[in-house]
Amino acid sequence: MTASVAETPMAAPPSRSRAIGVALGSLLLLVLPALATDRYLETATRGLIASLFALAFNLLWRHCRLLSFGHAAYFGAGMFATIHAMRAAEAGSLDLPLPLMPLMGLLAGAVLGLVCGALATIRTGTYFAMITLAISELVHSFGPQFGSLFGGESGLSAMRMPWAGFAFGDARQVYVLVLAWALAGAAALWLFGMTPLGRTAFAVGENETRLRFLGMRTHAVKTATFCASAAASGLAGALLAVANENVDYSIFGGGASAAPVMHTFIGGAGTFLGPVLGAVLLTGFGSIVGQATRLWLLYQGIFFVLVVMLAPGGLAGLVAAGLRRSADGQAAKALRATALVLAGALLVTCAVVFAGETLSEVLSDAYSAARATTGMRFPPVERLGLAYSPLSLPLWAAAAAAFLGGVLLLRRAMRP
Amino acid sequence: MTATLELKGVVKRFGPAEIIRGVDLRVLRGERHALIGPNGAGKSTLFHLVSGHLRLSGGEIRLGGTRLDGRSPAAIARLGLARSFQITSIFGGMSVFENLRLAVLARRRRATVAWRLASAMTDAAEEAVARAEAVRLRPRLDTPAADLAYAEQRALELALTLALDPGVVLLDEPTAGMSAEEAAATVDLIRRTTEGRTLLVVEHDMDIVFRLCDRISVLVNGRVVATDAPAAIASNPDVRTAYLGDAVDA
Repeated sequence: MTASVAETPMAAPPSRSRAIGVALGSLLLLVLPALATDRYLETATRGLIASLFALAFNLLWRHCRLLSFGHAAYFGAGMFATIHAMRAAEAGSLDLPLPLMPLMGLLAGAVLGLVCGALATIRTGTYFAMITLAISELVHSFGPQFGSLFGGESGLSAMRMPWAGFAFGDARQVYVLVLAWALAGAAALWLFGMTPLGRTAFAVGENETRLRFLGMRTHAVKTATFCASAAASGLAGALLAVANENVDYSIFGGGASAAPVMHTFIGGAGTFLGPVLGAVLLTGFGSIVGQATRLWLLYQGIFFVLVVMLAPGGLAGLVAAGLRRSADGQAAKALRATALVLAGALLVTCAVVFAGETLSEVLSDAYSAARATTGMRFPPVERLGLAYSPLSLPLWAAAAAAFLGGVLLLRRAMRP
Repeated sequence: MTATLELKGVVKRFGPAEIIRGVDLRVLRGERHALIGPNGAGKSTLFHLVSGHLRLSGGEIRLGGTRLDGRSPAAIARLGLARSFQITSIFGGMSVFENLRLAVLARRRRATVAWRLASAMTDAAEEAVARAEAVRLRPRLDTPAADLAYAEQRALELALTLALDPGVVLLDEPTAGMSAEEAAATVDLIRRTTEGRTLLVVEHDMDIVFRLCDRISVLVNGRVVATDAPAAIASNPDVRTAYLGDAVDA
C-alpha cells in the first residue's frame, strides 16, 4: 500500500504560476541593491520587515483562526530586546556580532508570546481578540514608566557595530542583513505549516471541539502556535531595531498592531504569501504617496475598507481566482474581470482623491488666510495642478458619479 | 461479567432543571449496548457527561477502574474512550487523508511534533490510508471532507473515532439522516469495524438497535427504567408504555 498522498491544497493559485511568482520575487529582491537608490532600498527594507510581521500575524489567523489585535507587544519586545543587546555590545559587555542580534528579538518575542499566549488562548473569537488588545495596551501603558527599560519619550538608541569587515553603515548592507533574516523567518513559518504541529494547529481553526475529543490538548497547541507567531513578530521587530538604531515606546501603540492586520487582509489571509503582497503594497504606498499628500493614511483606510467589502479573499485571492480562470480556459473572462477592476479602481481613486484633497485644502489654515486676503467666501482651490471653485457643482457631481460607477464596476468584477 | 464502563447515581442539573436523575448503567466488556428513549430523555446529555463534554452534578463514572468524571475530553479520549457526534463533526477544510492522519498522529502522541515534516511520517500516512480503506473512503482520499456526500461524511466521522483505537466507542445516532440502504450499510460497517470493542450507541431506529446490539438500556425522564436483551426489552410492558408504545402511535 502506498502512502504518496499530497497535502491538502489550501486556497492557492495554481502551483506553476505560484512558482513563477516566487522566482521573480526572489530575483527582484536579490538584484534590488544594485538598482535602487538608498531611499528606495530603505523602503524595501521596511517592506521586508512589514512582510515578516504580517506573515507572523497570519500564522495565528490562518491556522488557529485566532485574530490578534495586539501583536505590537511582541514586535516591540523584539525591538527593545535588540536595542538593549546592541547597547550592551556597544559598551563591550556583550559579545554578539550584529548579524546575530535579531536572535535577541526572536527570543524576547517567544518568551512574551509564551506567557501572553497561554493566557489569551484560553478564550477564542472576540474574547481572544480583546485579551490580545488589552495586553498590548497594558504594555503600552508601561512605556512612559520604566525609564531605563523603555527610555521614556525619547526612547533608546544604539549603534550598529562593525563585524568581520562589514561596517553596516549603508542602506545596502542593512538591506542584505534584513533580507537574509526575513527570508529565513518566512521559510520557518512556511515549514511550520507542514509539521504535524502546524497541521494540528490548522485543525484547531477547523474544528477545535472535535480535536479535543481526539485526545488533543488544544490549549497547548494554540499556545505553541501563538508563541511561534510572537517569536517571528519579535524577529521582525529586531530587524527594525537594527535598521533604525532607535526605538521608543510608541511602537506598542495601536497603529503598529493594526499594520499586520491591514497588510494581511488587503493582501489575502487565505494564502501564505498574501500578507507579503499587502505589506509590500502598503509600505510602498506610504513611502510614495506619503511624500505627495498628508492624507495618505485616509486613502489607505478607504482602500482597506473597499478591499474587505468587495474582495474578502484580498488581492491574492483575486489574483488566484484570475489565474484559476485562465487555467480553466477562461482567459478572456479573467482579462475582462481584470480590466473591470482596474477601471473601477481608477474611477474610485479619482473621486476619493478629488474629495479628500479639496476638503483638506478648504479646511486648511492657508485657505483661511486666502479667504481673508481675497475677501471671497470660497476662493478657488489650487490643487492637483488646477484652480477650481470648491463649490463647483459639475466637479462634485462628476466625482460622485465616478465613485458610484467605480464601486459598481468593482462589484461587477468580483462577482464569480 | 466485568463492566468496562460503569455509571453510578449520575446526576446532571441545568439550573433548576434536572435532566439526568440518578442513572446507573453497566456496559460490559465487548458488548454492543444501545441507549434508547424518547426525545428529551437525556441520551445525548448522558453521552456528553461520559465523554467529558459536560460536568456531572453528582454521581461517578468509571472506565475500568479509572474515574472519568472531572477529566477533560482530551484526557478521556487518551484513556481509550472515543465518541462520534450526532451532528457530523469533521475537519471540513482538510482532505479525508489529512483528517485520518491527524487522528492517527493524535493517538500516537505525535500530533504536536514540530521538528519533522508531517509528510516524513510515512507509517502514520500508511495507517491513515488503511483506515480510509476500511470505511470505503480510499477513492476519496484527496477530497476535502466538506465536499463529501453526507453518508461519506458519517463514515469519515466513524473512522476518526476508530482511529484512536479505543476500547470503548460511543456513537451518537450514527445513522441519523440516512436513507434505509445507507443506514443498513452503515450498520454493517459499524459491526465490522467495532469487532472486539465495547460499543455504546444512541439510536432512534428500532430496527437498527435490534439488529446491532446485544443489550439495550431504556432512558426515560433522566432515569434508566430497564436494561436487558433486545427481545426482553421489546416485551417489557413498562418500556412499551414509556417508549415503544409512543413510537408505535407516532
